[in-house]
Amino acid sequence: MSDRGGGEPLLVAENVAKRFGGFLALDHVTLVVPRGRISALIGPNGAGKSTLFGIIAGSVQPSAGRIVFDGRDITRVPGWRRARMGMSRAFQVARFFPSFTVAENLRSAVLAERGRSWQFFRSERQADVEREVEQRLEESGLTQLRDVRAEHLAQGDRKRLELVMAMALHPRLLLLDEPTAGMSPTETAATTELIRSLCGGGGCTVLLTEHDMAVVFDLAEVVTVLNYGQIIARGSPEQISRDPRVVEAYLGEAMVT
Amino acid sequence: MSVGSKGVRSDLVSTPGDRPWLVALLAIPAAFVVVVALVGNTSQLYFWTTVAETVLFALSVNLLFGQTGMLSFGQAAYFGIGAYTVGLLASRQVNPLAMLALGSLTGGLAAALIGAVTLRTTALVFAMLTLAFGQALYSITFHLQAVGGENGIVGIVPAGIGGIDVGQPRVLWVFTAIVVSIGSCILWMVSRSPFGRALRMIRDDATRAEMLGIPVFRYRLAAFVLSGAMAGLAGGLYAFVQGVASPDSLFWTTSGEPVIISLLGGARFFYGPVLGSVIYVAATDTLSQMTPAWIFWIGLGFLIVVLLSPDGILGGVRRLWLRYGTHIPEVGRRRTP
Amino acid sequence: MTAVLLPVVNGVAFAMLLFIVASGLTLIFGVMRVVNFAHGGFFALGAFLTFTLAAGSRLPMAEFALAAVGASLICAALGMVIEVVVFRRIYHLSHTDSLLATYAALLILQGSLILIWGNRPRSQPLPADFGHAVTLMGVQVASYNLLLIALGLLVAVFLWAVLIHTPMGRMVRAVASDRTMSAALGINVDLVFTGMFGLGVFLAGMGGALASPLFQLDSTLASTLVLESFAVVLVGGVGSVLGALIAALLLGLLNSFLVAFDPVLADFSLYIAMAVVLLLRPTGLLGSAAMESR
Repeated sequence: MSDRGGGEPLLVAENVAKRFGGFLALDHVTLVVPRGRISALIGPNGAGKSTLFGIIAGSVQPSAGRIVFDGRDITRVPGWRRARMGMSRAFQVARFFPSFTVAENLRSAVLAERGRSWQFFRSERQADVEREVEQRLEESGLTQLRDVRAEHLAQGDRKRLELVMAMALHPRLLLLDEPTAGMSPTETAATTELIRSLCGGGGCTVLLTEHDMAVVFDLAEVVTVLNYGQIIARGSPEQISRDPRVVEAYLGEAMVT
Repeated sequence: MSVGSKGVRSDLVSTPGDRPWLVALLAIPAAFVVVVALVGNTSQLYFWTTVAETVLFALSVNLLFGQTGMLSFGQAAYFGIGAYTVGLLASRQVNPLAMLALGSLTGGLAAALIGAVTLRTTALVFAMLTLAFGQALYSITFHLQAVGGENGIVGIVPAGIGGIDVGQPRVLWVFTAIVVSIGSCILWMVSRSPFGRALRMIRDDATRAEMLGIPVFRYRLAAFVLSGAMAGLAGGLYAFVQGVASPDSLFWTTSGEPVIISLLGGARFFYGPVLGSVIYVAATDTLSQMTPAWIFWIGLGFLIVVLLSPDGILGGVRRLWLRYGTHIPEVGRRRTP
Repeated sequence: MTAVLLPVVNGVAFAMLLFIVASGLTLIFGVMRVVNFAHGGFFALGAFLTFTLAAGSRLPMAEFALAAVGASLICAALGMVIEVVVFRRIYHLSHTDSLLATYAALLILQGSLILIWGNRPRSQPLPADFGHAVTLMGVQVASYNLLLIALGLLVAVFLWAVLIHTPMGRMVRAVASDRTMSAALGINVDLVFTGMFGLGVFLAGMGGALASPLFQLDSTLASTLVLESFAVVLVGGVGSVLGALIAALLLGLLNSFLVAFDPVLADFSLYIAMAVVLLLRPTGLLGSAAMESR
């Protein structure tokens, strides 16, 4: 691993616990996300990955613990402000604006990123914004679909659209919840390339969850394993693939696809 | 644009010459206003003036409903507040424009207060709470003798402007058309702006909007206040047209009408409420003269629209056009060059 | 003690009437996730049908009861037809969309009242055996109010018994909880829906029948208790019959005590109580988050 970023981790979820009624979904978990690297959070279904994501992103309030983003305690900061601070999220089931076309979806993201969403007195059609929209359509290979209503997109394209929108925020931390879910091998490869290209220059930090272990091995430099709301292992992909506790947690699920 | 607008602002179109046909389109309503003013008889003037004021109210409600995805059953509160503000000032010979501005202001303020309280709830609770607050206001007004109690304020006549008698039907029509145009232009501008885009983002997926950095609650509140202000303006015009400000204008069924109108015309289209208003006012006018059970037919028509064409008449038209190649632009959409 | 008795009795009686109507509403919402704005229409229809069946005359209790039951059954039958023909199409819609569809149905029902009975207001006298006052602890109390209280409790007990203690009730609760799973278990969900809607509307009609001697019968009756019954359902917790009972009692008593004090405040209190409860506890007193936003 090359020593990019380095220094303070970009995000620390410190001693985070989450209780739903009587059920303890997260048991005082501490997750460290190193700066400039691609990290993965894996674990069997129900381990608490999405809950932890929600807490980091601000859509779920933790029962205990705190979130520190770039040295700043953001536990009480609302989700939209975290997005403005540089945290971007792609959801497990892709979220976008169904009645907008693909181009309009991107326009929405770019306008939001430039902080222009409050402007009520000028047209939303702005030259610099439109240029960026075209550029992003090109980069993500969505140009042919630019005038298709997002609700009519196929599953793989939906995830791709959402990923591009999340990236349009120029985030410092990108939270990807199962980015390749429902994709064909070709689409998976393209998405993996897209993620890698974004963070190639050590530009942004990525935290992703995945069930496709090939993607984890391909992209991630640091892998944290969650099971029953607790962290059971942390290390490089090779290290955790050899860890007996991890293999046991997956109960025979193939570690290398 | 809306019925009777008089001009176009250059920043409303993205690039000059983007829509040359738009200018031509605007000339038609302007001409229409003049023609009706010149040849219309009293009942026709009354009809079109009522339509204009209904258009503004419906557009204000659709800002919330069609654009931001918020169903409020209490917009009559701000409409009524506007009407009563005008009613209370009418006897003091205040300039009608000032009265309308005040009606709009009080409407907006009330919306700010009620919105701050009700907007942090789910869609259903919001609909019911806005209904409740609207009814609370109705109840207070009904019993408050200072504002006329059950009968409200009668005999409202707008004062003159610069010697012109605004109360005279022809003048009132032109006056109303101009005010409604200005209000509609503002709403049009908002809908085509980045803020309007943000509102539709919130409508489509508030969670996604939030994670793009949109402060959802604040924007919803802003839309709610603007809607309340425009409803207040419409209410003020209503007071001039009807000459009365009564508690009926605050009853929850008055809140239901602009929603029906928007759905009828097409809530996803800016002009939906405009088309819906014309049809609705015409329909209720004709039907109420034909049968006392006119509400049955309104309900039936409404039900058919909700079930068969949820995006209203304009939606149905658009679907037909799509099948044959061309299409009508929806709010904020543009054809590929 | 005696000074309090009259408002208590009146308040509980009104609460029971409200409960009968609202229980139907909360059942429909709980099982079918439909916000039935048309409920008020069936309430009014029940009142008008009772008037017609009773021929607007002062009847002995037995015959009045027959008229009331008859009216409620007709409402139920009509309701089930509407459910099959119209409402089946709206189940996939969001809460606010179903609100609008049923609002349309309300207008249609309201219009039908005028079509059938004309615009002239009617009135239905109290049943002969209950037209008088009864002395209770030295206070004159309307005997009809006591009847309402008794009937309300009967309805509550009946619903509780059926829903909790019968296999049919268990089936209904299963469908309310998870309709897909219930269908997979072989439950005829369509039948349950139609049946529950029929029951809910029966209760609305029954409420209307019982209310017919208390209100002037005109088409505005359809919008009369709408807000109050929705308030009861939301405050009590959507889908909870017990919650509806508690909420109805709360609101009924609050209203009754304030009416003596200041009628305007009484009206107002409903909205304030509703707002306070909903803002502090959005799912209502006994509601569950599972029924929440869609």
